[in-house]
Amino acid sequence: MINKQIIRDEALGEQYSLIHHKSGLDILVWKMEGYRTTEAMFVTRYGSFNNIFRKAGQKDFTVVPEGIAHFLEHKLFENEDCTAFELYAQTGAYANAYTTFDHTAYLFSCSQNWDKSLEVLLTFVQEPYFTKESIDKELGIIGQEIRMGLDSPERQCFYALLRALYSEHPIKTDIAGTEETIAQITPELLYECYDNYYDLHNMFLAIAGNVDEDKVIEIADRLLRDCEDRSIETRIPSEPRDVCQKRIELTFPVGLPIFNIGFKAEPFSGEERVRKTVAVSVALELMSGTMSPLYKRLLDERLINSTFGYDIMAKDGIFFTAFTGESDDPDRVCELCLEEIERVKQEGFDQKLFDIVRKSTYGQIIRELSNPERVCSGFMVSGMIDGVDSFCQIRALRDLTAEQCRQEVEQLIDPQYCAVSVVRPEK
Amino acid sequence: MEFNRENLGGGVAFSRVTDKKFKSCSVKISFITENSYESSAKSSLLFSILATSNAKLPSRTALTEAAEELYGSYISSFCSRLGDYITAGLECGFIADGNTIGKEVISTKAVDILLDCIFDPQLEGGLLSEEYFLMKQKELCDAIAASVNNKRAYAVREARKLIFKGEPAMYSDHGSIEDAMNITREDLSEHLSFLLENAVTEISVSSDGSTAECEKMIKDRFAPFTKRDIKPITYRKNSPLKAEPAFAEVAESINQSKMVMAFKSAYDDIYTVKLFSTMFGGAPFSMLFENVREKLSLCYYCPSAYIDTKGTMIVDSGVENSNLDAARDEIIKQLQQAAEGAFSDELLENSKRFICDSFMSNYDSPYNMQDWYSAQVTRGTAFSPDEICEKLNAVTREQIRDCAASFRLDTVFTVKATGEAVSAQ
Repeated sequence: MINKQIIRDEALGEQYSLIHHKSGLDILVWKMEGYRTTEAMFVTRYGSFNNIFRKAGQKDFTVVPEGIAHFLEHKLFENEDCTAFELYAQTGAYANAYTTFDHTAYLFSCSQNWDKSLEVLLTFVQEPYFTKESIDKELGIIGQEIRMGLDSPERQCFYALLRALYSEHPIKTDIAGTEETIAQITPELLYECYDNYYDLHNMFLAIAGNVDEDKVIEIADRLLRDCEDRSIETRIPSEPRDVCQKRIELTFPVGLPIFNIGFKAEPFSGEERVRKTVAVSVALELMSGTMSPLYKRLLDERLINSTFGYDIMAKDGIFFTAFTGESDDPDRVCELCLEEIERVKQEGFDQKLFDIVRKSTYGQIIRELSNPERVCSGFMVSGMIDGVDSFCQIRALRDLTAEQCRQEVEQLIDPQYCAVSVVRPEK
Repeated sequence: MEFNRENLGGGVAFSRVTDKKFKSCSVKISFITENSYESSAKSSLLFSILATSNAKLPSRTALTEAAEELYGSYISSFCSRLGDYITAGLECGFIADGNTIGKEVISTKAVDILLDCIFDPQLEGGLLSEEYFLMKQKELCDAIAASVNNKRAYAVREARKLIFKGEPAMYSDHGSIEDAMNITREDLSEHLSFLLENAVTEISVSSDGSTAECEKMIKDRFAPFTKRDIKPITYRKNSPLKAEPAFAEVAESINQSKMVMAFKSAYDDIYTVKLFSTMFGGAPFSMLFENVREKLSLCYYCPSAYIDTKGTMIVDSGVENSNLDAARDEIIKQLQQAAEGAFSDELLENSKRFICDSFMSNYDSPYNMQDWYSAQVTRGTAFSPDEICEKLNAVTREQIRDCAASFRLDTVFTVKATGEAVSAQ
């Protein structure tokens, strides 16, 4: 008996299946009629946040070096005999993997042999093989990746903002770690992290496009191994509401100064996180999108260019929004953004503009539903947040009002909790 | 999926990609001219201004609101190199009418805005709006100034100046800050007239088949231009091989050096070369990835890419200073090995599967199919991804060996790291 739910949105006329596999793995399948491409992601809820952990029943926490989740992702691509790339070479799929703050994903995209590629994906992620020699070799490659990241002014500006906003939360450290921290990684540490976080109960498989659900289940039955639910507990240090420091400046060989203006807020969980994210996203579009009075004013004063935009990050223990871009005068941009926040708090949003932004966002969702890659990555929300399905965002959008958006600005974009990072050109 | 192409006359062509599964549509109008020192900056600036407003929607805010109200439709400009040519113009994207709430018809409204931006722009005393001219001129200058931020792209862009020295392809698709600052509103009015009178014009519509009315609107507006006397373009002009390879180096305060190598060949069959480039450095199991990165750890990345319009294969790499010479020598050695046939049948077959898989995935996107057939137009062909894959699967190892043997080193350009890139204050 298969434990399966059909998740459907009647208004959109779209649906997908959520299969609770006997191994403990949740499998999300969205068949898209007429499409040739198949997109798949095998995801563990394990990223750079998860550096201090203990198993259920254990007293003490284990502390592992920064950057180990990313290092593990690199090493999992190699098993004893060959690399995952060599296995994918026989199917024709494009394969990749990435590590973020809170998850690691192994993915492939293909337009033929999707079943063979799925077999490769499920096999190599379940077959870790770590040795001292292979770790030593990887240190050089990841060291180069870290140095390349140090050459990216946008990345450095972003991490500077994180360090300014957060004093305790591990989000302030680079996902890849440093050359010093990764030098501490051993095969034993990698196996310990793997055993604890690559537990199928802590993972999900998402697949969209040209796919046959019965075949997915048959492959999963054949290749997924029963595993114990380790109920791993990650310790995230408690974070004060106040920002760590108001401003960080860096110099870099850039053509124009780059800025991030961030606003720290209290974090949310479950469906509330999704609803808050949708609401604040619409609020930011209304406040600083290309139709907004603020955008017009910034353009009129020649303060911004087409790189100006906004960001939202909502994760365990984290919620912040940011205005980002390039400007000759980041301080003036910041001043005008803060003025606009105060105005919006008092006056709220224009109803006509709100209706346009909501309709436009609906169009964006329709466009994404015709792209297997976006449909597959859209599973990330339901895969990562308990009790949330992939249609949660569109439901939140349908229910949203202009007044709610104003309230979110009041609650979530508070100038009292603002920090700024600026990258300036070398003199 | 269906593809049709009509020559409307006067250098105006209309292409149509139709697939019922598409939920969104794209209309692209491209004006193609030879690249030159100043034309790229003019084209880039002109179309970025035209995308802001038109006579009926005379402000950026009014146009953006009108487009966004059509379920997030957009009008945007583009300007990019196509070998020795620049293709610049406007494009418009919208969801198919059948996907709107209550089946509201938005396609004709979106296309009307697009066409008005070209044929009925917002003018002040016969010139483009001064406000938007100054705004977009600054944006273009900012974009040119900020182009040094991405060191990998910067290295390739600088390398092209040496690789294609003396050819139109050496000029960037944005021009220089000096070019941008020297442009006047009068120049742009002249440039728009010049393009409408002289540029090869490619119109393409990619949709679910519900855009017949839009297509008629577009053809009607372009009808007066179908009597022009325009010579067709030969896009493929192989870049001449230098008598001796050119070497150049610049220093930057970065942590990882960037090395760009160019190899040139007059090998005729584009798809054999594309297959060879995939096998050489275009896949995660390729010769360069396997040997230069994985086995010898000489670089962090070193993919190869083939520019078919110039007969040039570029390998761009991120390398530690201490490994620069060894990485360069190893990349050349790998090319020699390919030319001697020192590669496995398995590698060749894997490369065929990889490139075909990638080509076939284009079928799922209206935008990708539009780009696919635009590339076909530059080659004077109209092959579908399926047809190309059939050709690729018939390529022999002897053809690959001969193709590899035809490439010669032309240029090595290095942005050498001088150390720490960032300092805190």
